[in-house]
Amino acid sequence: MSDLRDARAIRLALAGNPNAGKTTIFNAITGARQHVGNYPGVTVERKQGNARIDGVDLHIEDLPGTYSLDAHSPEEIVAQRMLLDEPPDVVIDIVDASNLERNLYLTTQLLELGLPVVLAMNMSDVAAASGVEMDVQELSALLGVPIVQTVGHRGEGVDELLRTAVTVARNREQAVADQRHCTYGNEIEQHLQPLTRDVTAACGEAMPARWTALKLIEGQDSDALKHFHDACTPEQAEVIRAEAEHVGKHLAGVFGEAADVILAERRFGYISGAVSESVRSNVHRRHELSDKLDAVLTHRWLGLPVFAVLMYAVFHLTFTAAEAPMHWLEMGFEWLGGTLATFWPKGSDSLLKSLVVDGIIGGVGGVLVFLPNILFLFLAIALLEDTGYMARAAFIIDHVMHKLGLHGKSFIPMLIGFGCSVPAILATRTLETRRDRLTTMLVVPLMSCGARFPIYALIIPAFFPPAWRAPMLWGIYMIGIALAIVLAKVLRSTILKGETTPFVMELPPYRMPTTKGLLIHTWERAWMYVRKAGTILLAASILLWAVGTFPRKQDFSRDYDELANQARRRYVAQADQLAVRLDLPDANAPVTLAGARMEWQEQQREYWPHEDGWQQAKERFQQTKQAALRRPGGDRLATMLTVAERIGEIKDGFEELVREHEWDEDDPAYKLAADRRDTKLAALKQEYPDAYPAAMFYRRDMRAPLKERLAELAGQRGSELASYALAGRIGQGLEPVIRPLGFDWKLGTAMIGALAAKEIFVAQLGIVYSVADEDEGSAADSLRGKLRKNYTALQAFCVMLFCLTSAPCVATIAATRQESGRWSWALLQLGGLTALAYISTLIVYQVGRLLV
Amino acid sequence: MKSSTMTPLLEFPIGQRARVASLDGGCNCASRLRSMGVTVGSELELVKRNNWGPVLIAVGGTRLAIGRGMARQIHVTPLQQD
Repeated sequence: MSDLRDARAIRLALAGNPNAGKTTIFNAITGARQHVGNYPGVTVERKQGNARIDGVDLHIEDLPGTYSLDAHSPEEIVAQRMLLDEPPDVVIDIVDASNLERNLYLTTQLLELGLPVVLAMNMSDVAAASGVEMDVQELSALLGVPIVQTVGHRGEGVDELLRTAVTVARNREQAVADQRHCTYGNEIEQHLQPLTRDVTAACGEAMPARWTALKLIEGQDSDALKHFHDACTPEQAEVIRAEAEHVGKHLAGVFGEAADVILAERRFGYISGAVSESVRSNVHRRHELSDKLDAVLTHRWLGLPVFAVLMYAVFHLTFTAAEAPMHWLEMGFEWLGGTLATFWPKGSDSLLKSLVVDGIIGGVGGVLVFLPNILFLFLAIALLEDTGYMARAAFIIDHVMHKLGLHGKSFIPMLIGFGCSVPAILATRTLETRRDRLTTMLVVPLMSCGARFPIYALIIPAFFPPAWRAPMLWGIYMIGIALAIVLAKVLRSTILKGETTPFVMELPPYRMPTTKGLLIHTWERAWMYVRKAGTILLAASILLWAVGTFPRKQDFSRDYDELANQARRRYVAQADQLAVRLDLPDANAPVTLAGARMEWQEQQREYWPHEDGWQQAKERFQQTKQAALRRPGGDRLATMLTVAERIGEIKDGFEELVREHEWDEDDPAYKLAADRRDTKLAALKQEYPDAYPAAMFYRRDMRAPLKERLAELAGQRGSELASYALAGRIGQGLEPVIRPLGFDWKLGTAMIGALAAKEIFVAQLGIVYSVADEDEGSAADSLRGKLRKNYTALQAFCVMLFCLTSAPCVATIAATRQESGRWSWALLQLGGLTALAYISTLIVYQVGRLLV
Repeated sequence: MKSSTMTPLLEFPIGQRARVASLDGGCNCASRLRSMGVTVGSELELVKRNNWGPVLIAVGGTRLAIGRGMARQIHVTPLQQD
């Protein structure tokens, strides 16, 4: 038997109270060799990891932190089930040395399970420093279990703990025999012991007999007892249950309290006996510093402002610190898309290329660029959690949340919701009851997530004067919060009716977080986000791409290629006017040059710069150009081109400056820069009095109209494609429905795109408004211009309101489905929020129209 | 245990030690408190009580925040200071 065990990894389970330092010890044991998953059927995190000590492989299961094994919370149910279904070789019970009595309560229950236990007396340094004198050997003898002193965050004692666990695992029978059970006093024991014998007789070794007997007396109908029913015949089970029920009633009669209450009190009595034998302490001192901090941080008046400032700091950090890495990621995805595109011939109409570049990279990349945001937000949250402040935040905000029918702890997922709804919904796991969890989950999407920001960033500057912009943005966020409050209230008084769970929460002493802990906690959550992007979002991006692409229009209302060629011919034809303006002997040179330029542009559409065709075409163009400039009057033509280029540089420089500083037209700095531009142009004009007007003509009457016309044609073609594809048709089909909200089919189509990920709204609107995205800045500007032409400020506000409230993105819906366990909740969230969006937008638009 | 000096926890003076005299209320809520160390007979101290929101108590070596509704279910008797 023991040989067999040596051959495979020893299985250890870590048990302990929340805040006893279990996670820290788990991290110290396993380091990065851990795996986070879920327990089947419940939303409790399951952490496993591996380690090695003295050549022995260990497999470690980190049980959820629990105060008992009474099966009241999902964590307790899971911990109990794990210990019964897959009993580990050894249970390591992590105990907070400065809070022994409460921590040992779980220990008594673990001992009753008949599993070999090793006690890790954690944070013994803190306990010793605060004046706890502990006779570890005495306590070890009293409980009959080995005790190892540890300091989790410094990794002290961890190796010894593992060695002890290995020793115990090799002598399981002896270890269990040495363990001392909690004794419940004569009155109880004289009923408990016969019952225990009966259980043993019926089930043999299959069940921990004493534990089973106690559970039966407590009258708990937990699912752990199904093992008991499996282990014996139905008749035996019936007899034993009846006997246990009888004992329970008898005890309740004798003591005047329910059996489970009496048993719990007896356990505490037993523990306090053991502790008074072995420990002398004055634990009040431990909280001195913590209490001083709490005097400020949970102060009746100061608490809330401090809380608000900290939350502001979290947001500030999230948005400002993430700005640069976000930009890098954006560039990275752009580069990736551009590079992958070169695998196809340039100008190719390949569907696969469109799928990969526009569908997948555009969709998934568009969401992954928010990763830095998410990482910083989670880092901030991990910091708040690991220091112990998060519990205070829940404490401070509880009375507000309580009034809304929510729980103090609901606040944490809602805070995360401002980053991304997906991890926010996963964070609802900290809530104890299903009702609290569902209410929070359903309202979380109303916290305006990071992906909705680009929508506001597009619309607000297009419709509102600078002074209004910040309050407008703030107002949108506030509307989301207000709607969440209303919705929570409604849910609480209808389908999720019931008392709010009583708030009980331990406020752990403030602690200095460890870097390792922070990194692990940040990464765990961020990874969930990345995984979502890789799975659901990938699928959704492909689907939405397909909806936006098919059916592909083949016959267009106009021959766009021919129209483009017409524009090009017009450009070439205008070149002879240059000859007149420059007083050239004949129009040969400018016309040849213009023709060569058109040909070069055509080649550019066909070849990538790294291809031979590109180089050859470029050389051909250069040669033709040189030849043209060598003709009579070529020098004047060359001068004109130089001047045109200089004009371009001056104008571009000005525009770039304005974009960079975000100056408005009535900004004094704007005027100053415009004056400087004009001065430079005037100087140029003076220097080249002949070439300048011709250059202006070349730029303004030849190049600009051609460029505009080509963009317009490409846009119109795209627009025809978009309205012909399924998404466009749905948008058009929806128009009668969304018209009362002030939306047309173009907005409707964009909102369908927003289902995949909110920020796709912007891209989709760009497509239906046929803005060719030649370069970022001007595309957004020209889209803003078109929006301004087509909609009123009221409509713009309604668009933002609708995007804020309506159908959350697919990833959110999938997360809700996963966490609630049912599609019905996810669909309720989808339908309910969309209905809420429809109604509120309808009211705002119709009332607004009367007022404006 | 029940004696004439039994006071609701919510009305007990801050900073004084007390012994839990009774713990009423729904079974889930009471047993939750019990597993966290608040049992009949255990000692506690009221650390903070605002006019609203949860109260803060010290039990053993920890601080527990308890919702007002739940705190109403706890009655205590004062303990002689030593």
